[in-house]
Amino acid sequence: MLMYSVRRLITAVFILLGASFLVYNLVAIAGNPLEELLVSNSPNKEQLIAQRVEALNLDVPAPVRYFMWLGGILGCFAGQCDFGQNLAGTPVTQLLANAIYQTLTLVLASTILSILIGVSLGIVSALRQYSALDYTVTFASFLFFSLPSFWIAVLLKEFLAIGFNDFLRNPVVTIPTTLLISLIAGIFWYSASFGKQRTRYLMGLVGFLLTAGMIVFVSATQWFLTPFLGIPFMLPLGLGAAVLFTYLVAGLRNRRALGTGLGMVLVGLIAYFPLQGLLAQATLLMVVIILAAFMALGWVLGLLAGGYDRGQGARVGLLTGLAMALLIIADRFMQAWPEYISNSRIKGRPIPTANASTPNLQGDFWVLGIDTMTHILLPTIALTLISLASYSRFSRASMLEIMNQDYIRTARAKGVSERAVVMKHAFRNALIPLATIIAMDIGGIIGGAAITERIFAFKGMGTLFLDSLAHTDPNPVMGVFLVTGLMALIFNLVADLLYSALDPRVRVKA
Amino acid sequence: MSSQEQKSSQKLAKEPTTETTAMRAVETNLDIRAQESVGKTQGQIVRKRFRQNTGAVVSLIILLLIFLLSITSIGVGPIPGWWRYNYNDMHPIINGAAPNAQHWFGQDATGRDLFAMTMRGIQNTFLVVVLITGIAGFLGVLFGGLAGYYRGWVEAVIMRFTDMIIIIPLMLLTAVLGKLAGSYFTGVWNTVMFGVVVGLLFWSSLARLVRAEFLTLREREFVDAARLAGASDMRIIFKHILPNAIGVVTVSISLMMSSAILTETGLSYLGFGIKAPDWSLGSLISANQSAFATRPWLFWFPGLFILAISLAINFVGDGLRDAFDPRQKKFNPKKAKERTAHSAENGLGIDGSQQASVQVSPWQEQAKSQPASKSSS
Amino acid sequence: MTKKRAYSALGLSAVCALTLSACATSGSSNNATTNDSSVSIAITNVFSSLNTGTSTGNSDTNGIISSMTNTGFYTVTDKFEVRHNDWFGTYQMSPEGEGIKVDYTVNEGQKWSDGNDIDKGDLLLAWAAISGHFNSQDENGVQYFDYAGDSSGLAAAGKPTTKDDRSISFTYPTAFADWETVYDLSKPAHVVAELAGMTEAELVETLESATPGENNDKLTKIAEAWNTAYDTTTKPSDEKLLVGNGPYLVSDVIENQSVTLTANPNYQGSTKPAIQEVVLKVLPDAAGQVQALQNGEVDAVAPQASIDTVSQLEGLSGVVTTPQADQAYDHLDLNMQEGSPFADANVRKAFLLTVPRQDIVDKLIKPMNSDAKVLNSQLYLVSDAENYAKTVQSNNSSDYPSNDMDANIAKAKELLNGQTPTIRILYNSKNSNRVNTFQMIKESAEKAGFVVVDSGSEQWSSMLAGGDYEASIFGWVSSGVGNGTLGQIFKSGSSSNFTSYSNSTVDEAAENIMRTTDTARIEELKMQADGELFKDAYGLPLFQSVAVTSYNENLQGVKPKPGQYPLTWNIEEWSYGK
Repeated sequence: MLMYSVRRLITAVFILLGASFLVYNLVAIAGNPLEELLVSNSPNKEQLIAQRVEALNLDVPAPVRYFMWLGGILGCFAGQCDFGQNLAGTPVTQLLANAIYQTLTLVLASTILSILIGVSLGIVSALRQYSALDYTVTFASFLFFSLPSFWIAVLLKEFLAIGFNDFLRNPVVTIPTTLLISLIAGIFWYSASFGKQRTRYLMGLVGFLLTAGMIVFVSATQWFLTPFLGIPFMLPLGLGAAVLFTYLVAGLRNRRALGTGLGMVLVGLIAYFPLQGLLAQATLLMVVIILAAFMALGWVLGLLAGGYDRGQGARVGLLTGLAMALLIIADRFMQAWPEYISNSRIKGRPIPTANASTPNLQGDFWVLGIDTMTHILLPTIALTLISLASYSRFSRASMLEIMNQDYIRTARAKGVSERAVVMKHAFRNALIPLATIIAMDIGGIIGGAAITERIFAFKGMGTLFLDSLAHTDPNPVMGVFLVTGLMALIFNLVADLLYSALDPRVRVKA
Repeated sequence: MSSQEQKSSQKLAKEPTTETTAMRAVETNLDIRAQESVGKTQGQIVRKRFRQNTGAVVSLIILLLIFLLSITSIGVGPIPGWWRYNYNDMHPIINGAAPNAQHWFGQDATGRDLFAMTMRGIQNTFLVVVLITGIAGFLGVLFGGLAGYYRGWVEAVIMRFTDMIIIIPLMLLTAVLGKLAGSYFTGVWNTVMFGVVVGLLFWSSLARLVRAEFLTLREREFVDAARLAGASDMRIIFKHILPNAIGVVTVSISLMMSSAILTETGLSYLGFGIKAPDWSLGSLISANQSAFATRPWLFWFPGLFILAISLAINFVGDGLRDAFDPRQKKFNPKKAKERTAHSAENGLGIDGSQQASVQVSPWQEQAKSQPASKSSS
Repeated sequence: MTKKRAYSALGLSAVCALTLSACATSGSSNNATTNDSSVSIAITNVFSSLNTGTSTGNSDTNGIISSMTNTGFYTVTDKFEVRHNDWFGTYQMSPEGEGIKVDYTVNEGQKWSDGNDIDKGDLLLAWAAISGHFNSQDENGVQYFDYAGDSSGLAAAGKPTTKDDRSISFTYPTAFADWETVYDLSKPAHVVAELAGMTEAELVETLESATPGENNDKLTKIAEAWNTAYDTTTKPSDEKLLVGNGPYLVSDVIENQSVTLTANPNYQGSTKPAIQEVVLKVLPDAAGQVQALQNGEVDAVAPQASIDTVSQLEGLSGVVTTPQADQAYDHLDLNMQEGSPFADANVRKAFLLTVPRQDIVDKLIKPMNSDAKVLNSQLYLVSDAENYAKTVQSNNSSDYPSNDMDANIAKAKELLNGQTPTIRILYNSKNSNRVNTFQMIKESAEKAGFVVVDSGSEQWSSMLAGGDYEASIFGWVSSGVGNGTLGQIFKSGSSSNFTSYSNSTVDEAAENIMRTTDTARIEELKMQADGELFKDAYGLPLFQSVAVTSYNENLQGVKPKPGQYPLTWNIEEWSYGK
């Protein structure tokens, strides 16, 4: 395995060398850096051309110039990286560092979200194959997949950002709108539910009433201007989480696990008040520590509860602890929301259409956190919708295949509960092929999402590549290529290794 | 299109489809659904199962209709069509360029007829898609098949070559292509070259899939049998293994088609796709993306065609996957129980051959309209 | 056992609590300055340097920032008049022998934002950078300042003389038309000196004593500091780099996202900036700029104009939208080199007659700017209204009317006399306006019997000089001031004369125009050349592009200017009206 990896990595270096030579020359063909100057009518045209030729060594033919460039790159091994400079004289290494940072801000959340949502949607629709839910999910994911990303982006900006901000001026939903939205929600609930016709009607009605009630509540309390969770919301949400996690992880029959979950809810509610003082001076590190502490506490609580299957209880505790911590943090963010909206730089329009942050915004951790979140909200939604389809279709197919395996039949025949069949036998195995896909995707993350980046004014890797290509600026193009190519090759290898590690039937040729 | 967006679009093509074939279903004979394949060739089974998938059939018909519309309306090459305008000529602007009886889809700022442009766009989009998937499909099957069959150094070389193809940015090649356009090839050859170049980079995911498929198939008994019978490698690859992998290939190619459309759209948006005065659906909506709020018809008509074509292709692909994959059937506990109950009531055999005489429950009636819930019919 | 566990759990939580309080912020200093007088403006490109004079720093965004942080002897107004900044200093021209002498004097008490006087060192440094005086003539010789602008004008003046500590004088050997705009203040000398590791006195001494073209360590250090020390994409840690004398100073930079400028408290200009803070936000996408304006994220935008951008902006409420003719114009040039059918003047005239200029303007430009008209001069733009009106009277452009195309085509047929020349037209196939223009010209020209071949290419810029085409459609950008372009484009053998055009009258005019300071004479020569160009059927100007700006209607004092810095050129005059 180790030998294999080393060999693959060495090949990767040679692949990169070959590809970079090819790409370097293609870039030279794709654009002449002198283009804009050749057609200029400025009186000192020759001088400008000479300056640029000098700066980029354009008097040397491209294949030879490649080796000059390569010399700078190889300097990395000697501790002196030289990726060259762009036309504006900024070192490419600096450009790359900033672009990677921006890309990660933009893409990370959406990648995690689309994996989580996509996989759960896929699993659920596989379990309810050919149900209305399945069709709805299939249609919706194909629809989003088929929408060009710039289209989604424009729609989101128009309706979610500008529309929502306009709505915030007077956040009251009229009765016809309420009815319409509730009706749509009711229909969705109806079509997404399954079982007897009567149950489905009932579910539709519940959906309708719940949505209508929520809208009335939100309107009446001006929730969008002064949102809150507080104990009244955290209690039911926490209970729901505890029950859900217990059901998924251990089954409701495992009373000790359920007890652990409920215990964590209680702990969370009690900790809510003393934590407020601390949270007022929060830093990112502290938030992370709180999250970790809650998870650890839940884990310990589960172990303490003991019982036949302590591990299950511990996992329930951990997940519920995480949920409670997240609720507390969400509540704290909501407390900061009114301050954020009324900030003179926000002017009551909290959802921006572009850029990564509000310049010169003053505020504590929570206000700045909200600022980041509002800025990545739209691009995250856009990217999540686009990539949802692949994950949901993939996990659906994978799950369907597993569910038809003989060992699932055997498990059922043994009388294992459906929950255990799905969660223990099917789900875990369905994740094996998914893991490799996800690994490959993570390798691709660094490449950025050029169109989305450009529309939302994030200067990530995609935009860096594109803009430099458009301005026929060779060095940044090569820099992006090197980084993305290397990542792709490494994660390609990781995917292969992961696959063989997870699935003993597959073996890597050593 | 960005590598991320593009990757996610290609990912669909990577979905694993089981390597199953009708043959194996018969072989194992464990699955009750194998019964429906008794006495039929694989093609017959696939066609039957595809026909039963209403969504896929409707989508296929829609695709054909769109294609016919684009061909007949403005004609192809020198052959004229029934539409009175050409996609290139500028006409006086009527009704503020908005859609009207003269210009169904309206006109652009210079007075060109949008209906004719959209039809031209559909033709070019189809041309590009066919080229991309044709080339990528061929290369993917070839490289994937060779790598999977021969293994050893052949596989190593091919797979590392695939790695190299994966890391070469598509946008760069299309940018190079754009530079050459006009000097080295013009008119429809631009479109053709675009399709060829994208196709040359598009095959890597298919190759990985086909390779995986071949890796399992080559270990199977029928391959050993053929080898013992003295069949040549080429014969084994093309006559024995490939027909068994056709399901994977068909499905991933159909999915490749819709990603090809989106890739072309994305590249057009970034200025690397088909360029005026010729049009593709992607270049039309990207040229008019800012018209979204002011002259919406310029954006919506081509956009809706992209959506329709892309959705239809996805559904056809989905239908093909289900049709090729007899095992991809849900084990529905409720349904199983219900059937057992009915079977018990009516004294039916497990193969359900007498199902026709059975009084179907309302639930089954409903299920019948849903394409693939056919386990009981 | 259970007890033990409970204790350990307790202990764990105690540790947790301790760690948590340890990483708390030390009292949040929440002094959010309520800033009512902040304005944010969308820019297209990222910021990369505080010195826009160098060849790497020479970008529009850097230029906008420099123009806000540095002022000098003059400002080019929205009417393209050179306005002397009398509060800062004075400069005037006087004849001296064959040539002229220009004396610059900085007013007493003018200071940089850090309190340092603006004096001789600053004036000398600006001269050294702009004139390229110390650079070796030999290409491989020593090069000091990497200046992006045109050095030739000031270089001709040779070494300046300094009367006192606040003045500098240049003596030009011949009269020089652009004397008003060749020289202005650059970066603060005391900062550059410090960056170069010397005192300002040493810098002055070096600049006064160095010999051009010879190696000089100190001068190299100075030039190096001026060339590269100001390149930064973030807020420089060295506060000195932010020293300026303009109405605003850079106060914060978020890399690739925004640049914040705050009013300079020590600004000595006659109009003190009313708006405390200007935020420049990078928004590359034109549609994105419109939506950001609509959403109140920015208060002013100047996106690339397109029919939809303009009409969308015009549809927004609460903003003032101004589409106007830009300083860029598209034109059709004919290749007159030997062997080309256009070597024959009649064929040229016939072809130009077939160009449906009115139609092109109506279809491509009118939807954006309802005032748009066919451009009828190769040398004047409509922003120079008075002279433009005058030149149109006399420049023979009336030979090519475009309201009655049928008559034009009939005339063209007559001129062609049965010939059917093949015309390859070169244009940028990536630019949809040019593609459309080509289509219209092609349609019309073919009616007269021309065979028009589409030579559109993305590589048009590299092919322009090759001459392997008969006609080309592309754009020129006019800076609005200065007279160098006449010679650069139309003089025989000049590097931007791609069509082998040669006319001795034009050549003479191009020579003479630079050797006079008499504005009336300058205009006379330009109009003479303009007339020759139409008489020779050089080609045709088609239309001026459209520039659009849009800003929050509460902003007062915004005067959109076509061309380079459409919004910010007079930013110190902006204010929020109530």
